[in-house]
Amino acid sequence: MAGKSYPLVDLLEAVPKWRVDPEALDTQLVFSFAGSTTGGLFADTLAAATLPPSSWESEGFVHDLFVERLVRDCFCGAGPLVTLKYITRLIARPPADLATIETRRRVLAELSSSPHLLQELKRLHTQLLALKGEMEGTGQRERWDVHRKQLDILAAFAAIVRLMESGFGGAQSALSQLTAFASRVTESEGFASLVSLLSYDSKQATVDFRVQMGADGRVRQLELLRLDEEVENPFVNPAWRRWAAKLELLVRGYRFSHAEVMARLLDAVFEGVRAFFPCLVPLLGDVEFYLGATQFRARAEAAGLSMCLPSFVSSAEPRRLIGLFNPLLLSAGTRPVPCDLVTDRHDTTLLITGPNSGGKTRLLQAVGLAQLLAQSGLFVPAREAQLSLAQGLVVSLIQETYADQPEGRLGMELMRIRALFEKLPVGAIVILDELCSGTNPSEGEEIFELVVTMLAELKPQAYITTHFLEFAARLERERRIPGLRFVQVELGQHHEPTYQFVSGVAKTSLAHHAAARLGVTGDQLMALIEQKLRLGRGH
Amino acid sequence: MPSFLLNERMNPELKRRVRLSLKSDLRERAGGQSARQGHWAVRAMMVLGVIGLASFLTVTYRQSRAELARERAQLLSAYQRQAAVFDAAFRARTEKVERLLAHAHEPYVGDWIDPGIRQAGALDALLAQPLSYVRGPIRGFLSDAERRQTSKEAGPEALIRCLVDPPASIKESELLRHLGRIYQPKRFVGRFYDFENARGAFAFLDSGFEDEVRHVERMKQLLAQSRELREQKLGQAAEARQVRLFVSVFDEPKDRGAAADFDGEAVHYLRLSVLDLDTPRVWLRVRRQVDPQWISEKSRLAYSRELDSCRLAYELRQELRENQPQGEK
Repeated sequence: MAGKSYPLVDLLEAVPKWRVDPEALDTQLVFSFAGSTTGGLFADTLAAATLPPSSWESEGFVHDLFVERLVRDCFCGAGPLVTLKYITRLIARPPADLATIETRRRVLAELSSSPHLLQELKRLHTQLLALKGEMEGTGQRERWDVHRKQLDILAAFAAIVRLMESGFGGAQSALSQLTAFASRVTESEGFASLVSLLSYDSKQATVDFRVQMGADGRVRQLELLRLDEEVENPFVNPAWRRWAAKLELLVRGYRFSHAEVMARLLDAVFEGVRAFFPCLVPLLGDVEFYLGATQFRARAEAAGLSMCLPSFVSSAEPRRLIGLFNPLLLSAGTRPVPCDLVTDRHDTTLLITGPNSGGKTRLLQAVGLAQLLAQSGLFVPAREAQLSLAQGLVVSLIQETYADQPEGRLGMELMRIRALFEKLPVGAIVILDELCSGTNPSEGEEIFELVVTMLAELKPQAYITTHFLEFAARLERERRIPGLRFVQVELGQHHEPTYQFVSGVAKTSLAHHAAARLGVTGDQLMALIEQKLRLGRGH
Repeated sequence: MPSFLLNERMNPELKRRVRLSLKSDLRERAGGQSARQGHWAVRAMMVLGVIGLASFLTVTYRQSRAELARERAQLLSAYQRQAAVFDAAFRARTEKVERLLAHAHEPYVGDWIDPGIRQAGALDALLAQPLSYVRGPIRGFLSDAERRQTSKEAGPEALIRCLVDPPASIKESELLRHLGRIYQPKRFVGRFYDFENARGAFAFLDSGFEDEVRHVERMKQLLAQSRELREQKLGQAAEARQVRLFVSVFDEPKDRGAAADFDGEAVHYLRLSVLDLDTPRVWLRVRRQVDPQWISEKSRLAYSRELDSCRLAYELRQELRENQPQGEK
C-alpha cells in the first residue's frame, strides 16, 4: 500500500485534513480484518489524533470549566459516546481558522433545520458503531469463525456506504462529502465485487420446494420444485471447480477447506475496498461531535432552555448573551436560571459584585463555556448570543489548598497572577473569581488595582468577581481605569439573589444572610455552646 | 498464473487481487505472519497422493460398476430364458392342480367313468402320456402347509405304477413279482412329473426377483440372487410343463377300531381321479375299498399297501374292460 492514496471525509475542517496517519491506521485495520485483537482501535486512534491549529491553551481553562464533565454529561444521549476523549479535546482546542468554525456551524445549522438529515446521521452513527464492533471484536467468534466476522465487516461497510449515498443527497454543508464519498465507493470495481461476494454468501442458490403435511403435522412429502443458482455472480463456481480450488490451495500451503477458499476471496475483496476504510475511523469521531452537540441542545430544550449558534462581531461591538445559562447546572440535574449579560463592547474588564451564593461564579463558568463552545463551532448555552472571537481563554475559578504548596494563601494568589500574565495572549478572555481575596483588604485592593490596570494593556475580555465592594464602588466613581464595566447581582424584594445581573456595584455581600443560612449567627453558636455545657454537667 | 478460483465472469481487477491473495495473504502483506504452512513440495506430494488415490478409487469403482452391470445382464438373461417356459397355459394347469388338492377334503360327489375311457386301449393310451400323480390321506390336504408336505411325500407308488403297467393276475405271488418289476429304477423314466416344484417356481417368478436384480447395487447381493436362482431349479420344475393328465388318490380315514398293518395299510376307502388338465374333462372318478385281509401273513408284514394298491389297479382295469361296449371285449 506504499504511496497509496486514501479517500478522506472530514466534517470538522473547512479544508479536509487527515488528523490520523492513514497508512498506520490502514495497517491496523488490516490486522483487525484478518482477525487480530484490536480492541479500542477507534477510540485509541482518535484519542491520539492531531487537532486543527488553535491559539487556545486548554490547560488555562479545561480544569476550571469542567469541560470533560460537560461533554460527558451533556453530549451523551441514550448511550455513551465512544470517542468522548476526542470530542473533549476538540472542544478544548477551538480552531483558529474561522472558516473551520463556519464549516461546523453550517453542519449544525443544517442538522437543526433538517430532522431528516439528523435522523440519517444517527443511523450512520449506529452503522459506524456496528462496524467498529465488528472490527474491534475480541470474542470467541473471531477465534473460531473469522470469515463470518470478515463477511459481517464487509456487510457493515456496504450498509454504511449505501446509507451515505441515499441519506445525505440534499446536504449543502460538509455533510455533502458523505454522498460524494459514497458515490466514489459505489463506482469502484472493489465495491461491485464486495456486493457480489455478499450476495454469494447470502444466496448462492435459491430453492423452491413444496412440503406436504399429514394430519398429524408430520411431513409426508418434500418436493423440489426449482433450483436457481446465481450463475452471473463471479464467485459462483461449479462443484468440481470448488473441489479443484481446494486442492490448489492445499498445494499453495493453505488448508484444504471451503473456508480457505472463502478466505482468499474475502482477502481479494477487502483489498479492493481497503483504501476506503481508514477515513471511517475519524468519521465516527466527527459524527459523534455533531450528534453530541445536537443532543446537548435537545437536552437543554427539554429543560425549557434555548441554545443557539452565536453571531460573531468585532471586539468593539456590543456583547450580548441573552438567556445565558450554566450547562454544568443542567448536567447536575438542576434547572439553571437564565440571565442576560450585555455590555457595550467586548474588550472591557467586567467587575462583578454581589452577595455570596448569588451566582457570580456560575456566571463566570457560563460565560467561559459559551465562548469555548462558540469558538468550537457549536451551540452556546444562550437563547441569543453575539460574541467576539478571542485569541485565548484563561480561567481561574478554583483556589484549592495543597499540602505541599510552596507559599501561603497570599503567595499562591500572587503566583496565580504572575502565571496569568505569562500565558495570557493579547485579546484573550480572562475569567478570575475573587481576585486578591487571600490578604487584608487594603493590600489586596492595591494589588487588584494593579492587575486591572495592567490587564487593560492586553485588550482582554476580562470577567472578574470581587467582594471589595467599596473599592469597586470607588473605581466606578473615579473612572480612572479605561474599559472598566460593572455589573452586580440583582436582589429581590427580601434581599435574596435573583441570579440576574444589572449594571452597577453591589452595596453588600449579604454575608449575614449566608451565615444565617448556614447556622453561623451569634444566637445559633451560643445555643450550641449551652447544649455542650449541659451535657458536661450531666456527666 | 491460472487458478481454479478465477473465472471469466470476474473483473480483471478482482482477478489480480485474487492472484495477489494466493501469493500472500492479507496479514502477510501487512507485515504479519502468513497463514500458510508447510513446504510447497510436501503439499504437492500430498495433493498428488490424494489425486492418485482418488483416481485409483474412481477406476476401481467404475470397474466394479461395469462388472456388476455385466453380471446383472447375465443373471437377467438366464432368468428370462428359464422363466420363458413358464407360460400362461402352464400356470393355468399348475393352478388347476392346486385347486383340486385344496378341494380334496370335500364330500365325495360320486363315481364317474368317461365313456371315452371305456374304449379298448383308451386307458392305456391315456396313461401312456406324461402325467402327474399325487396320493395321500385326505387330512393331508387341509391346509396349504399340509398340502405342501403331502405333495412332497406323495411320489408315484404301486397303484399308479400298476395302473400304467398292470399285473397279469391278482395272485399274490404274481403281484409280488410284478412289484419287483415296476419298482426297477429306470422303469418309468419320463412318465411321472411333479407339480409341486412348478407351483414353487411360479411363486418365485411372482416374487419380483427380476426387479430386485435390476436395482441391486452391490456385487455381493447379486451373487446371492444368482445363487437363489440356481436353488430354485426352474429347469427341473419346467419339466411338468408337458403334463396334461393328473391322477390323484385320496385315502379316506380307516374305520375306528380297524386293524392296521405294519406299513399302515388297513381296510379303508380311497378316491381315485384321472383328470384332463387342459379341459374340464374328468376321465375317471371312483371310490373303492381296499382290504388287506386277502394277503398272506408273510407278505402283509412288508408289502401290504403295495399289494393292496396293485390289486386295486388290476381290478379297476378289469372293471373298465368288463364295461366296454359290446364287440370290443
